[in-house]
Amino acid sequence: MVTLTDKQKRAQRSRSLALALALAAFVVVVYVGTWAKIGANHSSQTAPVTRPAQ
Amino acid sequence: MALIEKNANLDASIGLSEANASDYIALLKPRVMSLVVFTGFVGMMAAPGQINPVLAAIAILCIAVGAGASGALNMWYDADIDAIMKRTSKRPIPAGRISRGEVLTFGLLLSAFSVVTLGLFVNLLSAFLLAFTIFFYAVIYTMWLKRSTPQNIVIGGAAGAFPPMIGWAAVTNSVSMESIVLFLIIFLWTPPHFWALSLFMSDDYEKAKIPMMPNVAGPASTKLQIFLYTLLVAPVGVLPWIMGFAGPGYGLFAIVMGCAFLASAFTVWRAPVGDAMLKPAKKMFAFSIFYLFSLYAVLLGEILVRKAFLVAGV
Repeated sequence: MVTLTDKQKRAQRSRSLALALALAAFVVVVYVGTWAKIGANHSSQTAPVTRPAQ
Repeated sequence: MALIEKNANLDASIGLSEANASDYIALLKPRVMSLVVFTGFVGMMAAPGQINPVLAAIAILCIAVGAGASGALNMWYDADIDAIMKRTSKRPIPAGRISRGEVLTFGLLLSAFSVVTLGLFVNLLSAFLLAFTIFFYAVIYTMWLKRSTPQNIVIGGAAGAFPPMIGWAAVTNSVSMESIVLFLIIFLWTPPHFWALSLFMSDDYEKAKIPMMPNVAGPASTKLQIFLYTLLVAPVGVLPWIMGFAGPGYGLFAIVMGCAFLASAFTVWRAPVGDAMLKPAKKMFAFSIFYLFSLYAVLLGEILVRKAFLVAGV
């Protein structure tokens, strides 16, 4: 059984929190980015085609 | 006694680290990262065309994380010389707060995440440029050039010059002359900037056996080369106006700042070798940071004003 010192416990908590925040941020980036990408692709496909003047 | 030693070894083997989140942030070299993010953002804003704001934010985030990853890989490889130099001895690895293995894993993971995310959400060209930048900084500069030639920061400076090109490529999916000029400004600025630093930190570099220009060619030759490179960067700084992607306001500002940068380099060049050159070298080092930052800031300001007028239909 390994016992952590107070300093090690605090450091571990700080690292865990940072990792959790980073992973949550990554999930948000992927979610929001996917919607933005779908939106960008959709608007480029539905953009009106300009016809040359007759 | 044996039991205590056994437990100590166990602690080390399972990595009971005392490193906190701020140590990992320090590995990303936040100050360098902020300049990289800023120049990348200017490159993105200067590019013709449009990008979805969310995708633009993701691109900037990826550039920032990629820059941080290369900083971490640099600290992983250079831990031995960082421990010798006063300026870097407090970094997480030499200070004993994080192990080299952890830093290598951290750097590689962030590199992969930043490049893959940029490629998936923005475009493959910008992802390739980011990957190349990380490779260039970590392998070409850190592992190869830094310890082998006094030209290390001349060639290695390319790594710091790529971000505006990546920002430009994120919008246009191309590399053009304009983005090459934005690259060149930083590329040519790097040698006078770092050689001014190395003039007053040469003892540190000497101790770590890094072949910086003052230690190899001597301070007199370094001062001359600082002046010659400043002669190159000052007119290149004006090119965005001459090429038409910056306005006369920027052009005038770049001319004035280029002259001031040249005057500063001239003072360093004419200062006698010895303690008398340290003060002008320190002044020039500080001014070089202001020069690059202000040039890009004025360019950004001008672009934002132009875009605001376009939106307002003026």
